[in-house]
Amino acid sequence: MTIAEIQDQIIEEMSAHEDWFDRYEALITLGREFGAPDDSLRRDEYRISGCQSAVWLTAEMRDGRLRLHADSDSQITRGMLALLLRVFDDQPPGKVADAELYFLDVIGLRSNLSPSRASGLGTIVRAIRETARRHTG
Amino acid sequence: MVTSVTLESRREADLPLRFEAGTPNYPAAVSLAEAIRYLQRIGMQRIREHENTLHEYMREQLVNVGGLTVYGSAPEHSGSVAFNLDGIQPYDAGMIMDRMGVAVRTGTHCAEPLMRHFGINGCIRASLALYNDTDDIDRLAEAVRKAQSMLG
Repeated sequence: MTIAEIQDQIIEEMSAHEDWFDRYEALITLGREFGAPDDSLRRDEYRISGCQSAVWLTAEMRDGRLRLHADSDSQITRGMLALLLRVFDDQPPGKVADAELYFLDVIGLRSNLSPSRASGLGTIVRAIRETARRHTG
Repeated sequence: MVTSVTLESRREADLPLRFEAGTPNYPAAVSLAEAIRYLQRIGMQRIREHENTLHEYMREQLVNVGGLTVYGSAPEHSGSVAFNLDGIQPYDAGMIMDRMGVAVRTGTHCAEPLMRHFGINGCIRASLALYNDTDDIDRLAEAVRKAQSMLG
């Protein structure tokens, strides 16, 4: 699936949750199921700075596609990482670097976070883009 | 304050005036005076008693909720209570509580050495003031329970 198709799928699924508690529940559930099975990701060199909670990100190329791994000590952030990686993981790095990211705004995720959370979300997206750019070409 | 300005440059005034605005913050000065009069009309002793009563009530309610750790064991307290919900990240808890209409502070509270002393990465802090009442604390307890059920 393309990055856009995945985003449209997420928008449809999240729109089925009418109120914000349902959406938070969905994010928390996603967060519970997401995350590294062990602490192998939780290393200083993978840490993204500029987030209120701890976020770790690493990536490698496999068969021409970018494989992303991420984790956080916050359940809600893990839920957001689950969605972001669903969109960006296992895609050509050039696409990850440049693709339009709109699902966060359409489902109102960014606007419903506190300013520091929203800024942290932006930092994570930028880190993913940067990683993709480094693996391009 | 400046002494002169052109399109290309400016010359600032000498110290200390260079760090002063041209127009002093007189609305704040007037508001501060009125705020002080307001507190004096109510009476600082009355405020202190109200806050202390609420503080005790808040501690009791938090103990009733359970599944949390309150920090600070000094014999005299006032104002605020710092705590963590067992197994739940304080930022996550704060987000749910915010949705429940309860505003608390989360994080390191600009006091990292104190967090280190307690061996934690951050915590939740509920602060009281003269305009709070027991309803607010009941809502706090309800919000804590909601956060525990969603995140625990």
